[in-house]
Amino acid sequence: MIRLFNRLLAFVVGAALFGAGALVVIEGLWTWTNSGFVWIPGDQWLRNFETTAWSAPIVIAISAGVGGVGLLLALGELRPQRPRMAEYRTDDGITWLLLRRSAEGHLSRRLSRQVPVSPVRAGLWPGPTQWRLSIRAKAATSSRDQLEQAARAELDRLHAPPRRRVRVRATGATAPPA
Amino acid sequence: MTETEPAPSAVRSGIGEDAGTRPGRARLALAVASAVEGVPGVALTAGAGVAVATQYRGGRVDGVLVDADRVTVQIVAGAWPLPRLVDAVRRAVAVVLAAAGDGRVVDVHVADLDPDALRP
Repeated sequence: MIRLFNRLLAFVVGAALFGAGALVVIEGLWTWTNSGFVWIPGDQWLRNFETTAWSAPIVIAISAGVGGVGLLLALGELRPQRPRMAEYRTDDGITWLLLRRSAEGHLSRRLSRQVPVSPVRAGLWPGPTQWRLSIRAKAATSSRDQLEQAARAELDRLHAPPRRRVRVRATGATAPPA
Repeated sequence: MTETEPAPSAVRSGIGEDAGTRPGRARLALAVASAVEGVPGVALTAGAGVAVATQYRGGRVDGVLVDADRVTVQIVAGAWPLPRLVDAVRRAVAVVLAAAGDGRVVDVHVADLDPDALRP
């Protein structure tokens, strides 16, 4: 999700910078010929900059807004990201990797087959010593134990580390699966 | 860096006429691919996004990336248990590397789990 957001943000910022840069080039060339500004009300902006105080509410509001957006972006980047790969270490120090998304897809498919609820969404956080698994299913809350047992069995099959945390959220249905 | 396509005889034999010397990346990748595909329950895949593959002039070997110091093999697993399957892949690659006198490290990535093959 954050990757998609980053790509969209990069596109929007890039497009804005390109547009602004092109506009400045055009205005600069036009001003160079002593023809004044074309689209930008440059004279008015300059007057506003010169006459607006730092303590003006609009300046404070814009500064706070920009600072807030920056803080959100920084927090979004600093937030711990789920590992892309689950890392396995054997006793002789050999390591191999399992793609997290594949493991999540496998868990979703397997749980949907074993406990007839749909859709089942699995979110895996495969740490080096502990795996955390979050299951979300449209199912009656009475199905929660069944889902958790099936999830733990699948983690066994995936050779997850002994330390595991499984959280099941079953919502949106009133009757247990047939 | 691109390399010429290996001769068919070299592909079949894995190492070909370069046995005893350090084989080219493409030839080594083809030999590794051939060995890995011989492991039951394993299919090579380049994966989504940045492909794990070795390119050479005229083709590429999907699922095998030969770097300067390591060989990365990316597979779709179609058999349980995973550690045993990965071990079989690693041993198959090790045989090829040993025959070529190559000391590269072997990395195995499981990119996907075949749902049809992994029924209980």
